[in-house]
Amino acid sequence: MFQGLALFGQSIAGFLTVESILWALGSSLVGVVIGALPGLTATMGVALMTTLTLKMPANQALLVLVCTYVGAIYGGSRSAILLNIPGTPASAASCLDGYALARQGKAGYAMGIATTGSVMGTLIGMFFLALFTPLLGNVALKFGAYEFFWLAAFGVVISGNLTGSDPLKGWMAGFLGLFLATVGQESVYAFERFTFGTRELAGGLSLVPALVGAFGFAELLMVMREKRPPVELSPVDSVVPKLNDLWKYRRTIVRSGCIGTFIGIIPGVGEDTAAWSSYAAAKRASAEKEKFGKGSVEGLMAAETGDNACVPGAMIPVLTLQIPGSAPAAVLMAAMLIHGVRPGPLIMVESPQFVYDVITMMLFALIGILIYGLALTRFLVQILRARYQVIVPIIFVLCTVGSFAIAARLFDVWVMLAFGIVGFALRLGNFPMAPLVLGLVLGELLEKSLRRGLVLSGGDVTPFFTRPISAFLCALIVLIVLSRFISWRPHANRAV
Amino acid sequence: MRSDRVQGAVWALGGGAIVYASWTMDRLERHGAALYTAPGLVPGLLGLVLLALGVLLALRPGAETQRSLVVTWGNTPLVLVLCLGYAIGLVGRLPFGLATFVFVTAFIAIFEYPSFRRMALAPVYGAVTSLAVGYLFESVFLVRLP
Repeated sequence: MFQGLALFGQSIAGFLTVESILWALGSSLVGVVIGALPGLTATMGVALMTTLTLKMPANQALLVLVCTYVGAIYGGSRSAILLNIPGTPASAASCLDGYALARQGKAGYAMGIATTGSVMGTLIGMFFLALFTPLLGNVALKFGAYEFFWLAAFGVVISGNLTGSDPLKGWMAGFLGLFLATVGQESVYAFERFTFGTRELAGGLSLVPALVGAFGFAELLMVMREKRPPVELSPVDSVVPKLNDLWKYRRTIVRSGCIGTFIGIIPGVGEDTAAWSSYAAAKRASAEKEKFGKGSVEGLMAAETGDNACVPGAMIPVLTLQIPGSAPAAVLMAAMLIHGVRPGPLIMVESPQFVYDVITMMLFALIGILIYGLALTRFLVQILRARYQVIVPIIFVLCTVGSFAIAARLFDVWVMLAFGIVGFALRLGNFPMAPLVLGLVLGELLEKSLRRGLVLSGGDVTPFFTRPISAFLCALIVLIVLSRFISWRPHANRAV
Repeated sequence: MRSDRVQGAVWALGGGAIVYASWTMDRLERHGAALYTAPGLVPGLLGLVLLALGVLLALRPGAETQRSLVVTWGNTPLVLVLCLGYAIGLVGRLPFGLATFVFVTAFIAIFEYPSFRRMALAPVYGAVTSLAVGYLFESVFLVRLP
């Protein structure tokens, strides 16, 4: 424990430079603005910022990305409260009570509650990040090819199951992502697959342009498809949170923080599920159930604490297993690999300092959102008046230049465009994007693990089913799939 | 009008095509590759899963009675034309600053029509974006522009 504290202290000392503080504050603000604008998500923000930070030193670049991620998840609450439109899917649960409070003339108070919940959620998540990463790291050391194969498959299946309104379509999106990851040279014989003679495809589909397309370009097309009514903002009262709210809702905060972190750890599920689960748990436990949906402070606190606690939670499997806990975490993981940082089971052995660096980055982001939540509310409210006719072309320019910047080749721009159009078509068909992204990121791990496992066993598939952890993961997948097949009706109780 | 049935059929066809392509892929037996190390193994299995899921989507009970997706295109075709025109037609052929200026100005002017006051601001946004993005990428983030 003391070693952990010492490493954390070293990380804070390392990041306490003017440059790092400015990057952290700037990127948190970018995140908050992206998150506040309906239609633009945290995943898109992190993907775009990945392209901007390519040439920065790894630690600075990841600081920017983590701050953007945390800021965007927090920023979504602004439009949820003031416009009844979630800025990001993670804030959908906040609309229910946040907007109801705004209608009662308590928009500022609701934003204060959202800030309190977000800060507390991030803090609880950071605590568990520090606590669980070494523990999970030790467990992960027992993982071999067989276990990683099932873990990759589990990530795609659980992500498809929980993100979106129809698990079957979620699984289809996930397996499409896994297939797309096989395009290009395979790792054993360098044999080119599905390249159709295109030299640029030999190295596979570039991950970042694909993500920028699926989340950036596709989101822009969705945004421009909808006609938006003129923005009518609720008046804002004082945004300073009340300390007695912290004490009054302490149980809700701790419960939601734990739920959010736990959901973050589950591969590919993400912040929206965390917010809804925390909200549902708070409603079940509340003495004032009837107030939920009509301006319940407890409900808003639960949703905001849950989704923000999910952010550090989603980093735990990234750091220990190289399996992202959410779609933005998948992009963040891709950025880590680009910057030469290799998370995985050996992280606590090879570079334990990096785990505490990530916690420090979260701490900086937390300070950023606290400042913006208290001091820049009126500026952020004005952001919501921004016209999409102006924002969309500017963001598309960034998508184009960012995709080009990865390897200085126009082919990556075409990959971005193709993924944008496919992503748009899939969204129209109600296919969720998070499993697709997870599939793209996990495809290499799945294939490598399957083939390595088969080579080790001489083609015998038995170890995939007989080793304890493998058998457990396999049984879990079968249970999840069977539970959905028993009932054919897609579950429609969640907002997408 | 599209339904799960049509979508399922499209996915199943795609999955079938992947399975066929993987099955007919070189198995590299001359290099000593076993069936379980053949390059087509993993994509073939994934294609098989996609084929099965596509069939399930098309045939699951209630697929026909489910709400069909009525696609409202809105501004999408125009946005697509403008964005593809910029990324494929302008970038790489014109100097980046000029291409960006033309795209941003045209995009804003078209979508702000018929507000002439807002349309008049389009070139200003175009010029500022072109200069700011150029400066940001080349001078701050040290990234090459197309």
